[in-house]
Amino acid sequence: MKIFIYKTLTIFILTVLFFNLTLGIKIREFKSELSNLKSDENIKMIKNKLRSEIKNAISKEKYLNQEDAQLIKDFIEKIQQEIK
Amino acid sequence: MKLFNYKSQQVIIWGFFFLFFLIGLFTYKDYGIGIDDKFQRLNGFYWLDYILSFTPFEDLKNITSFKLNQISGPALPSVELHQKYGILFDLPASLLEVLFKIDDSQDYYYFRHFFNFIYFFIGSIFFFKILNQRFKFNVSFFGTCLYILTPRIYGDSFYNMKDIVFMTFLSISIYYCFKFFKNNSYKNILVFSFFTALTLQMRNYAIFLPLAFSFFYFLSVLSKPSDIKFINKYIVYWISTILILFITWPYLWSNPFSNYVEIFSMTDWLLEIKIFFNGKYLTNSYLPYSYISTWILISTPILHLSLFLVGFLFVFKRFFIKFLNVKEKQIFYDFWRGKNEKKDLFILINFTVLFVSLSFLQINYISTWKYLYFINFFIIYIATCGINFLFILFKKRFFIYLNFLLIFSFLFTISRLVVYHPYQGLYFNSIVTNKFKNDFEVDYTSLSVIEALKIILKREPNKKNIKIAAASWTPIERGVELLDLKDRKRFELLGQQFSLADYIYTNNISEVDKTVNNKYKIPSNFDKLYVRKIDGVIVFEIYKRKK
Repeated sequence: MKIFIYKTLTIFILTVLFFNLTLGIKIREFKSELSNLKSDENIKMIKNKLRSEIKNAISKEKYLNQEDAQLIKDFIEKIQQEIK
Repeated sequence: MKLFNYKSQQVIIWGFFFLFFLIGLFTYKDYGIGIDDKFQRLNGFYWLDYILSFTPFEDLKNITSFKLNQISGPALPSVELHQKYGILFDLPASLLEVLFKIDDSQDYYYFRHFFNFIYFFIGSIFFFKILNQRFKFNVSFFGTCLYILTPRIYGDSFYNMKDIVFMTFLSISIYYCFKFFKNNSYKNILVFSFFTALTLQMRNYAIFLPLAFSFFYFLSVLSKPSDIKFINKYIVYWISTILILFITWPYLWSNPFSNYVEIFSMTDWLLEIKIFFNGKYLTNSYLPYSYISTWILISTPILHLSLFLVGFLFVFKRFFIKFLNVKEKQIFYDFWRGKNEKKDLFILINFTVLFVSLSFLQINYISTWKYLYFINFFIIYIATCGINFLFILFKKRFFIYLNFLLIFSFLFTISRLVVYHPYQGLYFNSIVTNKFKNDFEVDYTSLSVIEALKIILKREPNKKNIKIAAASWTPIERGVELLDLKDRKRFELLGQQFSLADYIYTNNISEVDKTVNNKYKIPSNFDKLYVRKIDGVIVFEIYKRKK
């Protein structure tokens, strides 16, 4: 009986360890990444980055290259045609 | 080989403790004020006031209420919201403060620091007694040296009123636990239950102690079913522990069971903040599993770690061999042969389970690993097993050399303690590079504020109003209370209003990610005036407004 109890305890401990050292690590990493993504600081950083990009675009004489400008123009015209 | 007779041993150990006491007595004023000092004082007066309300001591009650109402300040948590802390340090400290009429902030904080040291001192004596019952005198002596010379613990023994006090009560509890292992009398079980209850009051982690104690009884019964006859003592232990816990902890008086259950949600109120760990700002709710082990590895002396490794392997190997050889019926206990082996295994299993579970559990750690300083008790016990193993291994040929080697290593550790003084609580070991040290939080408890303020005072001997801001999450208000009365009024504290400040203090502790958040960014119109470095670690910096 006692051997059975020892074996059960050992298997239980090893399973907990195995779970935590494999899947557990990944789950915590994922949660950490998610928490960083959702954090106020990250949102603030993205907003600031957007602002600086817009300011950068305004300050440049020409923001888009010829090819991109043509592509966007064609795309807008296509959408306009479809929603008429 | 026996180096000293009993009389010489007594002279050595009491001489050692006397010297240790003198060092504490002459140096306790060197340490700054910890971030928790003020709250602990508030907690003490809150509960003293509560208890005195049931007594006829009107004068004492009036003084206590007066002092309680005086304790306030920015960033001071409300005691009504955080009243789940034990009172074993705070209440006697507050009572003594009232009885001895200690009224100046500098005096009562210094008094508390000395009182804190006294707890650590008593804990060290009990630690020696635990070792001396298990090992020979020289091994116990070296083990006690390891315990005292653990820099982070030694430094914190002057201002950490929760974790060091908890460790002291843990030492006393385990001493009586081992006494019960030796002689399972009702007297021993009652004394053990008394100290278990007090330890439980200090930290909820201490629940491991009654659980481990009962688990070991379960293992005993599995090995020797006749041990079931001792079950009465274990029942007495649990009942008396619960009763003593309720009697000695006023927090539980109003609603014992639901209040106790609430303690386990204590981490709920801990803020979700960023922690600077290994060069990155991480959310403290999702710290990596390696958080505790990394902190232990970088902030414990190499000597301690090496001896711990030897001890751990030695005790684990002995347990593992016994585990592999368990038979359904045998004369001895399955996992230990005598009381000493049982003690070693008790410590090994407790350490392993605590270390693994505290690493895996999602706990919002802040302030490095100070909540887990009690683990040092187990680390040093296992390291002492390592010393014992080395003495057995080299008992014939290198016995004297081993003694000298250990003494030399202790002298080296003492020299490091001197280098770090009074910041031993911020210690990093010698294998950690200077760059790596600064990739971690250093002065997490704002200990350095007092030194920074004194430096500014020296530079501004005539200025009556010195405006100072803090580029740090830790408040500087507490440090001001440790200054001389005449100097306290000279500082105007501005928080993070850098535009109004003459000086900015920073200890680089931030609850936000400083790489994307400019909350603590030093403005460009400030110059770096002073940097305090110890052993390559930046403790604090002072910036001064450009003229």
